[in-house]
Amino acid sequence: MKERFDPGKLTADFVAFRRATFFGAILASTGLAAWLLWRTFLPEGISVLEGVQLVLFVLLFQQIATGFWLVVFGFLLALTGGERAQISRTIPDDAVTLTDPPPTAVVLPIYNEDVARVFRGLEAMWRGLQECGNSRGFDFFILSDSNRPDNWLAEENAWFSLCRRLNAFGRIFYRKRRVSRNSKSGNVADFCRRWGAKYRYMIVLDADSIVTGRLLSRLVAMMEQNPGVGLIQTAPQMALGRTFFRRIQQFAARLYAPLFAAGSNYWHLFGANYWGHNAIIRLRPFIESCDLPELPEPEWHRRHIFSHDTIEAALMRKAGYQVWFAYTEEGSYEEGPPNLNDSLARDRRWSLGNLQHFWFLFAPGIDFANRFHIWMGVMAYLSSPLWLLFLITGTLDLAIKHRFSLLAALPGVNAFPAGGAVPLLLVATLVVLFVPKFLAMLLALPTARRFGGAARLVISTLIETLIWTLLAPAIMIYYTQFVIMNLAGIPIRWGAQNRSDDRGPGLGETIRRFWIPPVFGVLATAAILTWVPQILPWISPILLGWLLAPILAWLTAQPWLGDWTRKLGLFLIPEENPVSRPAELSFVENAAADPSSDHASALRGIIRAVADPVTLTLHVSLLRKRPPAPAAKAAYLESLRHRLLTEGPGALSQRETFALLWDAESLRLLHRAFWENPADTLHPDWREALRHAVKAGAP
Amino acid sequence: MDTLREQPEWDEATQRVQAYLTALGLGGVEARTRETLRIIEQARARCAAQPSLHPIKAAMEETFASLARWVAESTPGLPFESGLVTLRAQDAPAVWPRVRVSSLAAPALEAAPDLDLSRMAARDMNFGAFETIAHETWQKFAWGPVLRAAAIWTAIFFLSLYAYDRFLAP
Repeated sequence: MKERFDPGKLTADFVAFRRATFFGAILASTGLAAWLLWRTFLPEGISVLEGVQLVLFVLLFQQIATGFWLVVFGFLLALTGGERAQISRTIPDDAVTLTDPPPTAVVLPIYNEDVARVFRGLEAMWRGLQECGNSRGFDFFILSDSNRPDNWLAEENAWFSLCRRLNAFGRIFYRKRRVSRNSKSGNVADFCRRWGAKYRYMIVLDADSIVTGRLLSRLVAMMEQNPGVGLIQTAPQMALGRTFFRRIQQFAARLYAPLFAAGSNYWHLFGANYWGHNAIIRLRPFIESCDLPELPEPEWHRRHIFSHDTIEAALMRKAGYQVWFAYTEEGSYEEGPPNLNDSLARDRRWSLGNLQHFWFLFAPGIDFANRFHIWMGVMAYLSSPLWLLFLITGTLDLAIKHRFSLLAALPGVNAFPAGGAVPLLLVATLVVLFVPKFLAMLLALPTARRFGGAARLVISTLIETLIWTLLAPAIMIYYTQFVIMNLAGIPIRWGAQNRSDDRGPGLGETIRRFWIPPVFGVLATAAILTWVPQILPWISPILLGWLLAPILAWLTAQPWLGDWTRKLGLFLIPEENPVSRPAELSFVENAAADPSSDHASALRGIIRAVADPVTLTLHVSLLRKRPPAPAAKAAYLESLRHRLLTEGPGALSQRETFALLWDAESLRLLHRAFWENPADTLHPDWREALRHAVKAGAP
Repeated sequence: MDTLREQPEWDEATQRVQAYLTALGLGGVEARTRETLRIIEQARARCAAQPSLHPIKAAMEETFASLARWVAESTPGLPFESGLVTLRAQDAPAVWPRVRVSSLAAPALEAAPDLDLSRMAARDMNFGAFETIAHETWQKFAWGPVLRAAAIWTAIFFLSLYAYDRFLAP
């Protein structure tokens, strides 16, 4: 039996030792690398360009050294029997039954998502809890911010159908927000204000989250055991991927993430980060202390914090509560973006959020661990323009040196004095970049059967490394673009995330999306061949990545390639093995869509709400009862109804359509007008809807 | 008495009532057909008394009234839509109209529990020195003169460059 851990007994010396060793290692390795580069520059005296390179190098090397040491410390912990100071060890390994389950809300904020997938995931979790015997304490909330009528109506139907099937009325709730302020964090805050006082804990999920019933129960047990803990973040594993892009991502995450996570826990302990989903939160301190402040930016700029999670963790720590990372707990899943394009669309949003966190970096009262999380988040995107700048200054510097050395050197003398520290520096950089992958693979070898066997594990790791090495330069360009756009204040739309991987994009479409990296590649290759052809072999992986970006983006987005590699047993993860896969994942993958939840799907948008009596009655019954509209508003709604009937749904803007969808009386009147009028008096769109209805009703 | 001209309208009215009852999933084919014929008979009677009334309108008004009666009897006290949804939750439409379900306890159909409001408001946040610098840069710094000076000096620079190139360069 494993020794139990008590977070209250962590001593300051223990925490200080851990942080001193971890950050000491980062500082030492960065200092050593910077010294080697400085020595390379030193003989001729340091020029301005070299000074710039040195500063950039320190910033950038620090980042990759952090990743390296995270894995090394994680590896060392694994070799020495695993981490003792972890939140999971505060309860017994087999603790899954809650004798007196505290009120816990499982909240699922959604925004124009695939409705069938969302509700399948929810059903899987509900069934998982029932199997654990713990469903009593948990209520589920679907918090919709969808702004497409189709999604809204389909969500309502799916909610009703699910509740009816599971007999879960009064336990699974659906709430559509009338005014969608402050995106996801606003959605969750709205829940907290309305119903937060009813619950002790809130488990926040994403639309693609799946958490097993066992883990949901254990998270509550951990919180109950540790009243000083405000938040526990799990480590969501990517699963259910089909495209090649998703499969290499989920393979890499399954292989490397445990070591990164163990290394993270080594230094931050009770100062973990929050990733915004698959986490449990103690509601009282969250409501009291974690509402997001506005940023001190001018009025014309966006003042709302786009990425809420990291700051909420910092505020929870500021309020005196611990934040832990339950990284060894199995049963937390998510689905990643299906291709590079969708991954970049998500990064566009995240980059803005992470850069905004810079404001908190030097704010008084923020815990050191949170400052470092914020710094790493900022650098995750800021490092791209810095790398690009480093490459440009480095190449420029070499070109200048090359020109002068050609003038000065005797024939036959190498214009690039590569002796001294340069090879050592190169080796150090490669070690820092690639040894973490090697260590993770080494650690997985004894259990390689989970990844399809030792040979397949090694081959998969090599291919994954190659693919990411080639994709990284293109990603660097897009991240640079995002950073520039964010700093310039170019707004971004809060778009729904594409999570479907049934169909890959076409080659033409991908080339149109990814034309910038090849242009960069051609220009850079021409410049290097002209001025510094000697460095071409060294820089060729970057140039190749730029030139091949559209092909790679297209290829990795293909489901057939993902299916093929799965057939070959490559990039396998334990969750793809039917024997070891949790029941919740199997359910989501295999469950057929509920036919009763979307019976009127032949009708679209507001036509469906008006024409289909089942949809209409459910929708109207879910609208909050309101007093009759004032005269001016009533006249406005009447004019909208008239236009909708005579000119068709296309005549109304989305805002006008929603005004009608929120008004029960308007919908009742429209419904009667639709059904009571002869077909030849109706607009063609309504006639078509009627034709559908009559056809369906024909005996 | 119907005229020949009106017969297509009654056909359309019959189809419309059938379609509506089917869309609601009410009963089986036999029950729906019987109820449709009953509704059409009543609509005909109304149209006979009120010749300006369109058959479809009359038939659908009868349909709505019939449904409203059924829902009101089955789920007293509930608004029509909530009542119908409650009946759907109990699969009552499948056995409509033979079985009245007023004796069944209505399940809790609330989309959300009762409100229990909390105050969640952001606390004042001190962002430190950067906030002060940013505030002074955005709010207090006079950008106008700086931009004007920069524009003038840029123009002078390029004009000088042009003049040098045009008149003085060897």
